[in-house]
Amino acid sequence: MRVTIADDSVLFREGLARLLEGAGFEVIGRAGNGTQLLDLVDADPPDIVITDIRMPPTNTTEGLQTAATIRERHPSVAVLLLSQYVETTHALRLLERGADRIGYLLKDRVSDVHDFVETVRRVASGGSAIDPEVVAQLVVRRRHRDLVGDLTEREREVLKLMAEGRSNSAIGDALSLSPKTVEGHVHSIFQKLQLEPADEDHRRVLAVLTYLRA
Amino acid sequence: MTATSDAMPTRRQAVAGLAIATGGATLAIATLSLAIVDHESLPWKQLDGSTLPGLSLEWTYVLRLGLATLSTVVACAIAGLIVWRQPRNAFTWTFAAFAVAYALNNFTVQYAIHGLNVVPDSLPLADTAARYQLFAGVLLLTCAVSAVLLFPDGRLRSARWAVAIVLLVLLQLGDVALNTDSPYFMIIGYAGRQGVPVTSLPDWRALGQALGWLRQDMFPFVPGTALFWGNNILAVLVGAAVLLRLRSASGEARLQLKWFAYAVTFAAIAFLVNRSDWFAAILFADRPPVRQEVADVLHPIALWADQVFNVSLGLLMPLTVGIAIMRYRLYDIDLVISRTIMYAGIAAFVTLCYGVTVAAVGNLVGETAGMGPVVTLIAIAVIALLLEPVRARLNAFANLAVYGKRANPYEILSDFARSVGQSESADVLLPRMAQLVRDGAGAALVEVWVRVGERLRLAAASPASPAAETLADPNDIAARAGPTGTVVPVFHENEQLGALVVRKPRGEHLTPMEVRLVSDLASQAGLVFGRFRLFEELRESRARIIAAQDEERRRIERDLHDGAQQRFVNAMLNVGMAQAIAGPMSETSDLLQHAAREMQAGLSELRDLARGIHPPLLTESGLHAAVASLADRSPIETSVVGVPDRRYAEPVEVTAYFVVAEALANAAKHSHASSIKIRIEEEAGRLRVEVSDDGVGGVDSRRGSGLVGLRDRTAAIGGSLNVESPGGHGTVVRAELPCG
Repeated sequence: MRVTIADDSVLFREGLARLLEGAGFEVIGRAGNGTQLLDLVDADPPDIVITDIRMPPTNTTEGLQTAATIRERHPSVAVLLLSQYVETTHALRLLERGADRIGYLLKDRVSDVHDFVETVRRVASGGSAIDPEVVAQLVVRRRHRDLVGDLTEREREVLKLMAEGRSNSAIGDALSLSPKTVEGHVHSIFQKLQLEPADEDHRRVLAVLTYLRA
Repeated sequence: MTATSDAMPTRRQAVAGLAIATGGATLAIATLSLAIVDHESLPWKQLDGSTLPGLSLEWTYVLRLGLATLSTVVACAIAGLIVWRQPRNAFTWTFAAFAVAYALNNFTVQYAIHGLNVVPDSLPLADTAARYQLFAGVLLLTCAVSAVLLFPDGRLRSARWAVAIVLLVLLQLGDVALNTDSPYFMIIGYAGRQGVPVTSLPDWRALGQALGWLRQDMFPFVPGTALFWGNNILAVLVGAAVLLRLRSASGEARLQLKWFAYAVTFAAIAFLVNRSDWFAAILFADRPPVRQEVADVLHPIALWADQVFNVSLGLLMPLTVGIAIMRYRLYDIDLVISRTIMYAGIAAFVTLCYGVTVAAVGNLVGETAGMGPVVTLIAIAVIALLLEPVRARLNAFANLAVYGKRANPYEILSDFARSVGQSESADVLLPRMAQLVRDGAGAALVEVWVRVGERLRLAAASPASPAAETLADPNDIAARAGPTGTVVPVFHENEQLGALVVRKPRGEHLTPMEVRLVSDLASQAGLVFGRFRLFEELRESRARIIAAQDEERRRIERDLHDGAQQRFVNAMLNVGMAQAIAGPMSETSDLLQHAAREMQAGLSELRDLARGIHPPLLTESGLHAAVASLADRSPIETSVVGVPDRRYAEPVEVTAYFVVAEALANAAKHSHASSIKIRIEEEAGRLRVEVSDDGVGGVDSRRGSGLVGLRDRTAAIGGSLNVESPGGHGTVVRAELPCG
């Protein structure tokens, strides 16, 4: 799998490249800001771009804008955004045009190498990844308004993992449940929240997030 | 729509306006040409009553012709202008109809005279042109009265006035019908009066005869002067309508009406003077010798007054209407009125003085031949002696009538001294001072400038000006005052603290007494100026501190983000990789996992710290997103209402954000509330921030450094913060920030 990385910290960029190469990825480009990243992607589109949000020159939301441009110009290139902090507002804006091939995570998540690499693979092959902190905020807001109250504690956990973009088997691994049981919980959640069933994982993410955001 | 809708004029309106203006001018020039051609054969020379006293017949003709042409051109030009610029106003179209009817009227008169008298049968439809005269009066009067009643916004004051207009039209039409005998000589006049032979249409003749019979046989008691009195009553009614509107109007509409009322009053006075010989004739009806004597005096005056009346209707009225509707120099009306009163007074005085002196000297000396020049000289001497004091009195009277009662200077001074003594705030005192100076000196504009630092700041003005102006160089104040303004410096303990700028209405200057008054006020104002300066300097320095603080916070957040936070992340990346190498289930792995958890927690704390110092989302996306994010993170259910999705100045955004953040944090810690509501709305240049919870209340806003710091911060940017927290009834934190 071919990856292009953008981050203004050289140390982090190189560390991330080493991590990914160790996991069998081919790092084909390294950029220090949004413009460089766009040039690299235009010249040789990778399978996935991993980019920081806050980069020079304005040090605000370069990564978000670049991600939007990449998704427009190269719909087949997946984008994973990393940031020192996550905001629900940014997440919802990112998902405006669908949840496939998109990821939004705290930079901290790189410390769990195994999970991070899995996430990169998932996003690169058409899935999505939403940071647990974003999901937690949305769920809290929803719970205030008593709209996830009908769910059992276990179902709520499944809902959160679903919203993060994880597959049934990943949810099963995380919660030590059999795939059958997970499927049962997912079915029950969709029924209780009266959501249209969605087959693909990234459509499921969008359905759940749309519900949580409403 | 009203006259205030200055919609962009369309091409069609421009064309219509141009057509009216050029059409009117063309008719006027055609009329003038015909009149010049006709003046060789002047059969009307024999007619009496057309020569103005003091002028030859020819000069009377030239004067009338000139005035009529000029007023036609002016009226049509102004009608065209307002049709172009204010086409949505019903008044515009009534006035345009009046102007066109006026031009047409003048033209048809000359056309009929030429076609029926000067060169008979030379022009087609000359008979029709003469017959049009029967209706011209109805049309003109109807348009004029309607225009007056519709002025300035195109709306009638009430439906009753519409009834008055209909009655007027009926009255006039009745009169027209009574005069349709045929064949008859119609006396028409434009530059001079002329009898023209008119053949009535058969139908009209029948109607006229029928009405004539009706009138003579059925209503013999209707006096012949009914129409005359009807017109007089109408003039009074229309004047009353204008006065009524003037009384209830305010602001610009009042000034527009004032201009109009000025022209109406002028015309009304001329009209009454013109009719004075009629009134006299009625008054002295039973004493023929007196009547004759009075008539001899009044008749020439009445004839001239008729010209003045024509000028005020034909020139003054269109001009004032143009000024009022276009709002060009709208505010000069008071000066115009006071000057008119003064000059009219001087004219009356000179006339009276001359008359009295001539009569007195004549009585004393007797009518001796050759005394004429001597009497005139004596009269001139008397007038010269009395003129200046009379002019001063008249000026004072005119100002009193127009600007109202001026306070006694001593009252003004003692009032102000008392206010200063009661140590009211400078915010109240300086505007009052501007007002006092303006009233006391009869100024058009007064500005109070206070020196703050090296600059001059406009602290107050009368009339109040909303703009916060600053002069970087105090020497620019003289330029600011302009040629008609006076600059009075304000000193306190030999230091210049500011200045007053006093501007009189155009053409007037401060009298020595007024200068004294202003200087005396200025000398008492030193303390207030000093107070204002201290306050302003404090506010400015606080605002500077806040701005520097914000800058510092932003820098710290940036340093944390690029420094400590990034290092943590890099370290975590390495620990993660080491963990992967070490593989699961080893002692090393456990230690590394422990290290990763610690780092994760440290990073989380750093992140919260950075957000508390300066929220990056606020800089990136503004208040709307940042407040939503705060609400999302709040552990208590929090709803958000309003929050304009636009950017504000940074101090405003930061302050509003921290007010919300602090209120939420306090609520989470102490309130035991179950829900919180955030409401942020912008109203009239103020951003209102309100955070209310349904918790236990009892917050003392004077304790707890968070709220105290926020209160200082809001005050520094000119806002306010208050906390309502009655025990047991929740807490409301309200902040109001200027955001204009």
